[in-house]
Amino acid sequence: MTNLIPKQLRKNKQQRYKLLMVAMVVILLVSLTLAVMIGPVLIPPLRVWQIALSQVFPNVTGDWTQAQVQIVWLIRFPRVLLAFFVGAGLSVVGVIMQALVRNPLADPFILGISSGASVGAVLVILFGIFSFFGVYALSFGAFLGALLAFFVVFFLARRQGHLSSTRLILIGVAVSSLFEAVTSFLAIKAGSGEATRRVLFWLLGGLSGTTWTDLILPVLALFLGIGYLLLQTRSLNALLIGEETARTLGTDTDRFRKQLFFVTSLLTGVIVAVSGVIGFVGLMIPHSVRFLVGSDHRRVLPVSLLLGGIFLIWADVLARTIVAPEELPIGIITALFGAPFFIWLMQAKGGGK
Amino acid sequence: MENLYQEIREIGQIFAVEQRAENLIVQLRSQLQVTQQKLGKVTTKKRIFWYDSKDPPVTASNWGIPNHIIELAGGENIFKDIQEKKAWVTVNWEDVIARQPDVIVLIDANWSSAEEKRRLLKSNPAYSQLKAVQQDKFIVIGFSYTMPGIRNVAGVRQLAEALYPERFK
Repeated sequence: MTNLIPKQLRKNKQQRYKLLMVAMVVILLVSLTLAVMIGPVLIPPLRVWQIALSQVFPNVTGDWTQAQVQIVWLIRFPRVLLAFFVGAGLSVVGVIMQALVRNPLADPFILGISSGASVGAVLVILFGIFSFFGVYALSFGAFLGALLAFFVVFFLARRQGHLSSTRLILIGVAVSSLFEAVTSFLAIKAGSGEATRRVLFWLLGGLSGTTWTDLILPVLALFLGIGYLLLQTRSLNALLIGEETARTLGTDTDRFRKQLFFVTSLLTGVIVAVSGVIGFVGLMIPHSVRFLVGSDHRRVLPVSLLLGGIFLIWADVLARTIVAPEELPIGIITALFGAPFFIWLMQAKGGGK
Repeated sequence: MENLYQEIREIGQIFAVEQRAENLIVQLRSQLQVTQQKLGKVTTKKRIFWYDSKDPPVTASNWGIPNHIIELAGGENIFKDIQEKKAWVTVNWEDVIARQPDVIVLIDANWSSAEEKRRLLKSNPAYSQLKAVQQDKFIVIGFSYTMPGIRNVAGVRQLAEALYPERFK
Protein backbone atom coordinates (compact mmCIF):
# COMPACT_ATOMS: atom_id res chain seq x y z
CA MET A 1 0.00 0.00 0.00
CA THR A 2 2.72 2.50 0.99
CA ASN A 3 4.76 2.15 -2.20
CA LEU A 4 1.73 2.77 -4.41
CA ILE A 5 1.35 6.35 -3.14
CA PRO A 6 4.69 7.74 -4.39
CA LYS A 7 4.00 6.15 -7.77
CA GLN A 8 0.67 7.95 -7.98
CA LEU A 9 2.31 11.27 -7.05
CA ARG A 10 4.94 10.73 -9.70
CA LYS A 11 2.24 9.97 -12.26
CA ASN A 12 0.39 13.16 -11.36
CA LYS A 13 3.54 15.15 -11.70
CA GLN A 14 4.21 13.60 -15.08
CA GLN A 15 0.70 14.35 -16.25
CA ARG A 16 1.03 17.92 -15.06
CA TYR A 17 4.27 18.21 -16.96
CA LYS A 18 2.77 16.81 -20.13
CA LEU A 19 -0.12 19.21 -19.81
CA LEU A 20 2.30 22.07 -19.34
CA MET A 21 4.22 21.15 -22.48
CA VAL A 22 1.08 20.89 -24.57
CA ALA A 23 -0.16 24.21 -23.20
CA MET A 24 3.15 25.85 -24.05
CA VAL A 25 3.16 24.59 -27.60
CA VAL A 26 -0.36 25.94 -28.06
CA ILE A 27 0.65 29.26 -26.56
CA LEU A 28 3.64 29.31 -28.91
CA LEU A 29 1.47 28.86 -32.00
CA VAL A 30 -0.98 31.50 -30.82
CA SER A 31 1.90 33.85 -30.02
CA LEU A 32 3.44 33.31 -33.45
CA THR A 33 0.16 34.14 -35.14
CA LEU A 34 -0.53 37.20 -33.01
CA ALA A 35 3.01 38.52 -33.35
CA VAL A 36 2.82 38.35 -37.13
CA MET A 37 -0.63 39.94 -37.07
CA ILE A 38 0.40 42.90 -34.97
CA GLY A 39 2.08 45.93 -36.43
CA PRO A 40 1.41 49.25 -38.14
CA VAL A 41 -0.68 47.31 -40.63
CA LEU A 42 -2.94 44.81 -38.89
CA ILE A 43 -3.26 41.51 -40.73
CA PRO A 44 -6.11 39.11 -39.88
CA PRO A 45 -4.96 35.78 -38.39
CA LEU A 46 -6.20 33.53 -41.15
CA ARG A 47 -4.51 35.68 -43.77
CA VAL A 48 -1.21 35.31 -41.94
CA TRP A 49 -1.21 31.55 -42.41
CA GLN A 50 -2.69 31.77 -45.91
CA ILE A 51 0.16 33.98 -47.01
CA ALA A 52 2.69 31.69 -45.31
CA LEU A 53 1.26 28.66 -47.07
CA SER A 54 1.19 30.45 -50.41
CA GLN A 55 4.89 31.17 -50.14
CA VAL A 56 5.68 27.53 -49.53
CA PHE A 57 3.13 26.07 -51.94
CA PRO A 58 2.97 28.42 -54.92
CA ASN A 59 -0.40 27.23 -56.17
CA VAL A 60 -2.20 28.52 -53.08
CA THR A 61 -3.67 31.88 -54.08
CA GLY A 62 -5.94 34.42 -52.54
CA ASP A 63 -6.98 38.03 -52.46
CA TRP A 64 -4.25 39.80 -50.61
CA THR A 65 -2.10 42.72 -51.65
CA GLN A 66 1.57 42.59 -52.53
CA ALA A 67 2.27 44.95 -49.63
CA GLN A 68 0.64 42.51 -47.21
CA VAL A 69 2.81 39.67 -48.50
CA GLN A 70 5.91 41.82 -48.13
CA ILE A 71 5.04 42.75 -44.60
CA VAL A 72 3.93 39.31 -43.42
CA TRP A 73 6.42 37.10 -45.18
CA LEU A 74 9.48 39.28 -45.71
CA ILE A 75 9.46 41.34 -42.55
CA ARG A 76 7.39 39.92 -39.75
CA PHE A 77 7.75 36.15 -40.09
CA PRO A 78 11.57 36.12 -40.15
CA ARG A 79 11.70 38.58 -37.29
CA VAL A 80 9.23 36.71 -35.08
CA LEU A 81 10.92 33.39 -35.78
CA LEU A 82 14.31 34.82 -34.93
CA ALA A 83 12.84 36.21 -31.71
CA PHE A 84 11.71 32.69 -30.82
CA PHE A 85 15.06 31.08 -31.58
CA VAL A 86 17.08 33.78 -29.83
CA GLY A 87 14.85 33.59 -26.77
CA ALA A 88 15.04 29.82 -26.76
CA GLY A 89 18.81 29.86 -27.24
CA LEU A 90 19.45 32.42 -24.52
CA SER A 91 17.29 30.51 -22.05
CA VAL A 92 18.92 27.17 -22.74
CA VAL A 93 22.40 28.68 -22.50
CA GLY A 94 21.36 30.36 -19.25
CA VAL A 95 20.31 27.02 -17.81
CA ILE A 96 23.62 25.46 -18.81
CA MET A 97 25.66 28.37 -17.47
CA GLN A 98 24.01 28.13 -14.10
CA ALA A 99 24.97 24.46 -13.95
CA LEU A 100 28.42 25.01 -15.42
CA VAL A 101 29.58 27.56 -12.87
CA ARG A 102 27.22 26.35 -10.15
CA ASN A 103 25.95 29.85 -9.58
CA PRO A 104 22.32 30.95 -9.75
CA LEU A 105 23.38 34.42 -10.87
CA ALA A 106 25.03 33.13 -14.04
CA ASP A 107 23.70 34.09 -17.45
CA PRO A 108 24.96 33.56 -21.02
CA PHE A 109 27.09 36.68 -20.84
CA ILE A 110 28.92 36.10 -17.59
CA LEU A 111 31.96 34.51 -19.13
CA GLY A 112 32.82 37.40 -21.36
CA ILE A 113 31.50 36.13 -24.68
CA SER A 114 29.11 39.02 -25.20
CA SER A 115 31.72 41.56 -24.11
CA GLY A 116 34.13 40.21 -26.70
CA ALA A 117 31.37 40.39 -29.28
CA SER A 118 30.69 43.99 -28.25
CA VAL A 119 34.25 44.97 -29.03
CA GLY A 120 33.97 43.40 -32.47
CA ALA A 121 30.63 45.03 -33.15
CA VAL A 122 31.75 48.45 -31.99
CA LEU A 123 34.83 48.30 -34.20
CA VAL A 124 32.59 47.58 -37.18
CA ILE A 125 30.12 50.33 -36.30
CA LEU A 126 32.73 52.98 -35.61
CA PHE A 127 35.51 52.15 -38.04
CA GLY A 128 33.75 50.19 -40.73
CA ILE A 129 36.14 47.23 -40.68
CA PHE A 130 35.13 44.05 -42.54
CA SER A 131 33.26 46.28 -44.97
CA PHE A 132 33.76 43.72 -47.72
CA PHE A 133 31.16 41.63 -45.90
CA GLY A 134 28.60 44.28 -46.68
CA VAL A 135 25.49 43.90 -44.56
CA TYR A 136 27.01 40.95 -42.69
CA ALA A 137 30.03 42.89 -41.43
CA LEU A 138 28.44 43.60 -38.06
CA SER A 139 27.53 39.97 -37.35
CA PHE A 140 30.91 38.78 -38.49
CA GLY A 141 32.76 41.30 -36.33
CA ALA A 142 30.65 40.43 -33.31
CA PHE A 143 31.16 36.70 -33.77
CA LEU A 144 34.91 37.13 -34.19
CA GLY A 145 35.00 39.14 -30.97
CA ALA A 146 33.05 36.42 -29.21
CA LEU A 147 35.48 33.79 -30.44
CA LEU A 148 38.43 35.84 -29.22
CA ALA A 149 36.85 36.16 -25.78
CA PHE A 150 36.25 32.41 -25.68
CA PHE A 151 39.89 31.60 -26.38
CA VAL A 152 41.18 34.14 -23.90
CA VAL A 153 38.94 32.88 -21.10
CA PHE A 154 39.50 29.23 -21.97
CA PHE A 155 43.26 29.38 -21.90
CA LEU A 156 43.43 31.61 -18.86
CA ALA A 157 40.96 29.53 -16.86
CA ARG A 158 42.73 26.27 -17.53
CA ARG A 159 45.24 25.17 -15.00
CA GLN A 160 47.27 22.01 -15.60
CA GLY A 161 44.75 21.09 -18.23
CA HIS A 162 41.80 21.28 -15.83
CA LEU A 163 38.86 23.66 -15.89
CA SER A 164 37.27 24.30 -12.52
CA SER A 165 33.93 26.06 -12.12
CA THR A 166 35.27 28.68 -9.74
CA ARG A 167 38.25 29.56 -11.87
CA LEU A 168 36.05 29.74 -14.94
CA ILE A 169 33.65 32.21 -13.45
CA LEU A 170 36.34 34.42 -11.93
CA ILE A 171 38.41 34.60 -15.11
CA GLY A 172 35.24 35.06 -17.11
CA VAL A 173 34.09 38.02 -15.07
CA ALA A 174 37.53 39.60 -15.24
CA VAL A 175 37.85 39.21 -18.99
CA SER A 176 34.29 40.43 -19.41
CA SER A 177 35.06 43.62 -17.48
CA LEU A 178 38.18 44.18 -19.55
CA PHE A 179 36.34 43.89 -22.85
CA GLU A 180 33.51 46.04 -21.60
CA ALA A 181 36.01 48.73 -20.69
CA VAL A 182 37.47 48.56 -24.18
CA THR A 183 33.98 48.83 -25.67
CA SER A 184 33.13 51.86 -23.54
CA PHE A 185 36.43 53.51 -24.35
CA LEU A 186 35.88 53.06 -28.08
CA ALA A 187 32.32 54.30 -27.83
CA ILE A 188 33.32 57.46 -26.01
CA LYS A 189 36.18 58.18 -28.38
CA ALA A 190 33.72 57.81 -31.24
CA GLY A 191 33.60 61.54 -31.69
CA SER A 192 29.98 61.84 -32.74
CA GLY A 193 26.82 61.50 -30.72
CA GLU A 194 25.20 59.63 -33.55
CA ALA A 195 27.87 56.92 -33.61
CA THR A 196 27.62 56.50 -29.86
CA ARG A 197 23.87 56.17 -30.21
CA ARG A 198 24.29 53.40 -32.78
CA VAL A 199 26.65 51.55 -30.46
CA LEU A 200 24.18 51.85 -27.60
CA PHE A 201 21.36 50.55 -29.75
CA TRP A 202 23.38 47.51 -30.74
CA LEU A 203 24.45 46.86 -27.16
CA LEU A 204 20.83 46.84 -26.01
CA GLY A 205 19.78 44.34 -28.62
CA GLY A 206 17.39 44.45 -31.56
CA LEU A 207 15.81 42.30 -34.23
CA SER A 208 14.99 44.98 -36.76
CA GLY A 209 15.65 44.19 -40.39
CA THR A 210 15.76 40.41 -40.03
CA THR A 211 15.52 38.56 -43.33
CA TRP A 212 15.10 34.87 -44.08
CA THR A 213 18.79 34.49 -44.92
CA ASP A 214 19.66 35.96 -41.53
CA LEU A 215 17.93 32.98 -39.97
CA ILE A 216 19.92 30.20 -41.61
CA LEU A 217 23.13 30.20 -39.57
CA PRO A 218 21.61 30.96 -36.16
CA VAL A 219 18.89 28.35 -36.52
CA LEU A 220 21.39 25.75 -37.67
CA ALA A 221 23.72 26.53 -34.79
CA LEU A 222 20.87 26.51 -32.31
CA PHE A 223 19.52 23.19 -33.55
CA LEU A 224 22.92 21.55 -33.26
CA GLY A 225 23.82 23.18 -29.97
CA ILE A 226 20.50 22.64 -28.24
CA GLY A 227 20.27 19.15 -29.66
CA TYR A 228 23.61 18.30 -28.12
CA LEU A 229 22.66 19.83 -24.78
CA LEU A 230 19.34 18.02 -24.60
CA LEU A 231 21.29 14.76 -24.77
CA GLN A 232 23.42 15.75 -21.78
CA THR A 233 20.64 16.15 -19.23
CA ARG A 234 21.85 13.29 -17.07
CA SER A 235 25.36 14.67 -16.82
CA LEU A 236 23.97 18.14 -16.20
CA ASN A 237 21.92 16.91 -13.28
CA ALA A 238 25.01 15.18 -11.88
CA LEU A 239 27.09 18.34 -12.30
CA LEU A 240 24.56 20.34 -10.35
CA ILE A 241 24.68 17.98 -7.40
CA GLY A 242 28.42 18.29 -6.91
CA GLU A 243 31.85 17.52 -8.23
CA GLU A 244 32.45 14.27 -6.38
CA THR A 245 28.97 12.89 -6.86
CA ALA A 246 29.19 13.61 -10.56
CA ARG A 247 32.48 11.79 -10.85
CA THR A 248 31.13 8.80 -8.96
CA LEU A 249 28.19 8.73 -11.32
CA GLY A 250 30.58 8.37 -14.20
CA THR A 251 30.78 11.89 -15.62
CA ASP A 252 34.19 13.09 -16.72
CA THR A 253 33.51 16.47 -15.17
CA ASP A 254 36.53 18.24 -16.55
CA ARG A 255 36.00 17.17 -20.14
CA PHE A 256 32.27 17.80 -19.82
CA ARG A 257 32.84 21.33 -18.55
CA LYS A 258 35.12 22.07 -21.46
CA GLN A 259 32.51 20.77 -23.90
CA LEU A 260 29.77 22.80 -22.25
CA PHE A 261 31.86 25.94 -22.25
CA PHE A 262 32.62 25.49 -25.92
CA VAL A 263 29.03 24.81 -26.97
CA THR A 264 27.56 27.64 -24.92
CA SER A 265 30.20 30.09 -26.16
CA LEU A 266 29.40 29.15 -29.73
CA LEU A 267 25.67 29.57 -29.19
CA THR A 268 26.09 32.84 -27.32
CA GLY A 269 28.45 34.14 -29.98
CA VAL A 270 25.97 33.35 -32.75
CA ILE A 271 23.06 34.85 -30.83
CA VAL A 272 24.88 38.04 -29.97
CA ALA A 273 26.11 38.36 -33.54
CA VAL A 274 22.55 38.41 -34.90
CA SER A 275 20.70 40.23 -32.17
CA GLY A 276 23.06 42.20 -29.95
CA VAL A 277 23.15 41.72 -26.21
CA ILE A 278 19.64 40.94 -24.98
CA GLY A 279 19.80 40.74 -21.23
CA PHE A 280 17.60 39.24 -18.56
CA VAL A 281 16.29 36.29 -20.59
CA GLY A 282 19.22 33.97 -19.90
CA LEU A 283 19.11 34.76 -16.20
CA MET A 284 15.45 34.78 -15.28
CA ILE A 285 13.79 32.29 -17.57
CA PRO A 286 15.74 29.34 -16.10
CA HIS A 287 14.73 30.38 -12.58
CA SER A 288 11.11 30.91 -13.56
CA VAL A 289 11.05 27.49 -15.15
CA ARG A 290 12.56 25.83 -12.09
CA PHE A 291 9.73 27.33 -10.04
CA LEU A 292 7.30 25.60 -12.36
CA VAL A 293 8.87 22.20 -12.95
CA GLY A 294 11.70 21.69 -10.49
CA SER A 295 15.41 21.33 -11.17
CA ASP A 296 15.58 18.21 -13.29
CA HIS A 297 17.30 19.22 -16.50
CA ARG A 298 15.22 16.75 -18.50
CA ARG A 299 12.32 19.10 -17.84
CA VAL A 300 14.04 22.41 -17.33
CA LEU A 301 15.73 22.45 -20.73
CA PRO A 302 12.67 21.89 -22.98
CA VAL A 303 10.44 24.15 -20.92
CA SER A 304 13.07 26.92 -20.82
CA LEU A 305 13.40 26.64 -24.55
CA LEU A 306 9.69 27.18 -25.08
CA LEU A 307 9.17 29.78 -22.38
CA GLY A 308 12.22 31.78 -23.43
CA GLY A 309 11.13 31.74 -27.04
CA ILE A 310 7.58 32.83 -26.27
CA PHE A 311 8.83 35.52 -23.91
CA LEU A 312 11.09 37.05 -26.53
CA ILE A 313 8.42 36.92 -29.23
CA TRP A 314 6.27 39.12 -27.03
CA ALA A 315 9.17 41.33 -25.97
CA ASP A 316 9.79 42.00 -29.65
CA VAL A 317 6.12 42.81 -30.26
CA LEU A 318 6.28 45.33 -27.44
CA ALA A 319 9.57 46.76 -28.72
CA ARG A 320 7.94 47.66 -32.01
CA THR A 321 4.51 48.72 -30.80
CA ILE A 322 4.92 50.45 -27.47
CA VAL A 323 6.18 53.75 -28.92
CA ALA A 324 5.04 53.20 -32.50
CA PRO A 325 6.01 54.26 -35.09
CA GLU A 326 9.27 54.39 -33.24
CA GLU A 327 11.11 51.29 -32.09
CA LEU A 328 12.81 50.53 -28.79
CA PRO A 329 15.81 48.22 -28.29
CA ILE A 330 14.53 44.85 -27.17
CA GLY A 331 16.97 44.67 -24.23
CA ILE A 332 15.06 47.50 -22.58
CA ILE A 333 11.79 45.64 -22.89
CA THR A 334 13.09 42.33 -21.54
CA ALA A 335 14.35 43.92 -18.35
CA LEU A 336 11.53 46.43 -17.95
CA PHE A 337 8.76 43.90 -18.23
CA GLY A 338 10.59 40.73 -17.28
CA ALA A 339 11.85 41.90 -13.92
CA PRO A 340 8.44 42.76 -12.38
CA PHE A 341 7.04 39.51 -13.73
CA PHE A 342 9.85 37.55 -12.12
CA ILE A 343 9.45 39.37 -8.81
CA TRP A 344 5.73 38.57 -8.90
CA LEU A 345 6.53 34.94 -9.61
CA MET A 346 8.89 34.78 -6.64
CA GLN A 347 6.26 36.31 -4.36
CA ALA A 348 3.57 33.99 -5.63
CA LYS A 349 5.60 30.81 -5.27
CA GLY A 350 7.29 31.88 -2.06
CA GLY A 351 11.08 31.91 -2.07
CA GLY A 352 13.67 30.63 -4.48
CA LYS A 353 15.70 27.50 -4.88
CA MET B 1 15.55 79.29 -40.13
CA GLU B 2 14.83 82.24 -37.89
CA ASN B 3 16.66 80.46 -35.08
CA LEU B 4 19.61 80.06 -37.37
CA TYR B 5 19.67 83.74 -38.27
CA GLN B 6 19.38 84.65 -34.61
CA GLU B 7 22.34 82.44 -33.78
CA ILE B 8 24.41 84.04 -36.51
CA ARG B 9 23.46 87.43 -35.11
CA GLU B 10 24.51 86.39 -31.62
CA ILE B 11 27.83 85.03 -32.80
CA GLY B 12 28.33 88.34 -34.58
CA GLN B 13 27.76 90.15 -31.32
CA ILE B 14 30.08 87.89 -29.36
CA PHE B 15 32.93 88.30 -31.80
CA ALA B 16 32.12 91.97 -32.51
CA VAL B 17 31.55 91.37 -36.20
CA GLU B 18 27.90 92.40 -36.27
CA GLN B 19 28.06 93.80 -39.76
CA ARG B 20 29.45 90.59 -41.24
CA ALA B 21 26.78 88.64 -39.41
CA GLU B 22 24.04 90.83 -40.85
CA ASN B 23 25.51 90.53 -44.32
CA LEU B 24 25.55 86.76 -44.00
CA ILE B 25 21.95 86.71 -42.84
CA VAL B 26 20.89 88.88 -45.76
CA GLN B 27 22.79 86.61 -48.13
CA LEU B 28 21.20 83.45 -46.71
CA ARG B 29 17.74 84.99 -46.75
CA SER B 30 18.02 85.98 -50.36
CA GLN B 31 19.38 82.56 -51.37
CA LEU B 32 16.43 80.94 -49.65
CA GLN B 33 14.06 83.37 -51.31
CA VAL B 34 15.45 82.55 -54.75
CA THR B 35 14.89 78.89 -54.08
CA GLN B 36 11.35 79.54 -52.89
CA GLN B 37 10.56 81.66 -55.92
CA LYS B 38 11.82 79.12 -58.38
CA LEU B 39 9.99 76.40 -56.53
CA GLY B 40 6.74 78.28 -56.67
CA LYS B 41 3.63 76.64 -55.39
CA VAL B 42 3.81 72.88 -55.01
CA THR B 43 0.42 71.27 -55.17
CA THR B 44 1.36 67.60 -55.04
CA LYS B 45 4.21 67.30 -52.61
CA LYS B 46 6.61 64.45 -53.15
CA ARG B 47 6.57 62.06 -50.21
CA ILE B 48 10.02 61.63 -48.75
CA PHE B 49 11.70 59.02 -46.60
CA TRP B 50 14.61 60.76 -44.90
CA TYR B 51 17.00 57.86 -44.40
CA ASP B 52 19.66 58.66 -41.83
CA SER B 53 21.09 55.70 -39.93
CA LYS B 54 21.09 52.30 -41.58
CA ASP B 55 19.56 49.72 -39.25
CA PRO B 56 17.35 50.11 -37.28
CA PRO B 57 16.35 52.91 -39.63
CA VAL B 58 16.57 56.43 -38.26
CA THR B 59 14.55 59.19 -39.83
CA ALA B 60 13.49 62.78 -39.25
CA SER B 61 10.62 63.57 -36.93
CA ASN B 62 8.27 66.55 -37.17
CA TRP B 63 10.60 68.59 -35.00
CA GLY B 64 13.98 69.92 -35.97
CA ILE B 65 15.97 70.94 -38.98
CA PRO B 66 15.64 67.95 -41.35
CA ASN B 67 11.85 68.16 -41.46
CA HIS B 68 12.12 71.92 -41.91
CA ILE B 69 14.44 71.44 -44.87
CA ILE B 70 12.00 68.98 -46.40
CA GLU B 71 9.09 71.37 -46.03
CA LEU B 72 11.01 74.34 -47.42
CA ALA B 73 12.05 72.24 -50.41
CA GLY B 74 8.44 71.44 -51.16
CA GLY B 75 8.42 67.87 -49.94
CA GLU B 76 6.47 65.93 -47.35
CA ASN B 77 8.15 63.84 -44.66
CA ILE B 78 6.33 60.51 -44.47
CA PHE B 79 7.03 60.47 -40.75
CA LYS B 80 5.94 64.00 -40.01
CA ASP B 81 3.33 62.65 -37.61
CA ILE B 82 6.06 61.85 -35.08
CA GLN B 83 5.86 64.74 -32.68
CA GLU B 84 8.84 63.82 -30.49
CA LYS B 85 10.99 66.70 -29.31
CA LYS B 86 14.05 65.26 -30.97
CA ALA B 87 15.04 65.62 -34.55
CA TRP B 88 15.97 62.03 -35.31
CA VAL B 89 13.86 59.02 -34.35
CA THR B 90 14.25 55.27 -34.81
CA VAL B 91 11.41 53.73 -36.77
CA ASN B 92 10.25 50.40 -38.05
CA TRP B 93 10.79 49.14 -41.61
CA GLU B 94 7.16 48.13 -41.85
CA ASP B 95 6.10 51.73 -41.49
CA VAL B 96 8.43 52.74 -44.29
CA ILE B 97 6.84 50.14 -46.54
CA ALA B 98 3.32 50.97 -45.46
CA ARG B 99 3.86 54.69 -46.10
CA GLN B 100 5.19 54.19 -49.63
CA PRO B 101 7.58 57.11 -50.13
CA ASP B 102 8.04 58.58 -53.62
CA VAL B 103 11.64 59.53 -52.99
CA ILE B 104 14.31 58.35 -50.57
CA VAL B 105 16.84 60.88 -49.30
CA LEU B 106 20.06 59.09 -48.39
CA ILE B 107 22.05 60.99 -45.83
CA ASP B 108 25.77 60.66 -46.39
CA ALA B 109 27.78 60.53 -43.15
CA ASN B 110 31.12 58.99 -42.15
CA TRP B 111 29.47 56.42 -39.93
CA SER B 112 26.67 55.63 -42.31
CA SER B 113 27.39 56.28 -45.96
CA ALA B 114 24.73 56.82 -48.58
CA GLU B 115 26.26 53.99 -50.56
CA GLU B 116 25.86 51.35 -47.86
CA LYS B 117 22.26 52.43 -47.32
CA ARG B 118 21.56 52.15 -51.00
CA ARG B 119 23.10 48.68 -50.97
CA LEU B 120 20.91 47.60 -48.10
CA LEU B 121 17.79 48.90 -49.78
CA LYS B 122 18.60 47.16 -53.04
CA SER B 123 19.65 43.85 -51.52
CA ASN B 124 16.92 43.33 -48.94
CA PRO B 125 14.03 41.25 -50.32
CA ALA B 126 11.42 43.42 -48.63
CA TYR B 127 12.71 46.96 -49.05
CA SER B 128 13.89 46.42 -52.61
CA GLN B 129 10.25 46.18 -53.61
CA LEU B 130 9.55 49.75 -52.59
CA LYS B 131 8.70 51.65 -55.74
CA ALA B 132 11.18 54.37 -54.85
CA VAL B 133 13.95 51.77 -54.71
CA GLN B 134 12.91 50.06 -57.94
CA GLN B 135 12.73 53.38 -59.76
CA ASP B 136 16.05 54.50 -58.24
CA LYS B 137 14.48 57.61 -56.80
CA PHE B 138 17.42 58.40 -54.54
CA ILE B 139 18.75 61.79 -53.51
CA VAL B 140 22.06 61.97 -51.64
CA ILE B 141 22.57 64.75 -49.14
CA GLY B 142 25.66 65.22 -47.01
CA PHE B 143 25.10 65.04 -43.29
CA SER B 144 26.65 68.44 -42.63
CA TYR B 145 23.83 70.04 -44.59
CA THR B 146 21.30 68.61 -42.18
CA MET B 147 22.73 69.85 -38.91
CA PRO B 148 21.65 73.34 -37.81
CA GLY B 149 24.11 75.65 -39.48
CA ILE B 150 24.83 77.87 -42.43
CA ARG B 151 24.67 75.00 -44.87
CA ASN B 152 20.96 74.45 -44.32
CA VAL B 153 19.97 76.96 -46.97
CA ALA B 154 22.20 75.24 -49.49
CA GLY B 155 20.67 71.97 -48.36
CA VAL B 156 17.18 73.26 -49.11
CA ARG B 157 18.32 74.33 -52.57
CA GLN B 158 19.95 70.97 -53.25
CA LEU B 159 16.87 69.04 -52.19
CA ALA B 160 14.43 71.28 -54.03
CA GLU B 161 16.42 71.02 -57.24
CA ALA B 162 16.59 67.26 -56.97
CA LEU B 163 12.89 66.95 -56.23
CA TYR B 164 11.53 69.32 -58.88
CA PRO B 165 14.31 69.73 -61.44
CA GLU B 166 11.97 71.13 -64.06
CA ARG B 167 11.37 74.22 -61.94
CA PHE B 168 15.03 75.07 -61.71
CA LYS B 169 15.97 74.96 -65.35
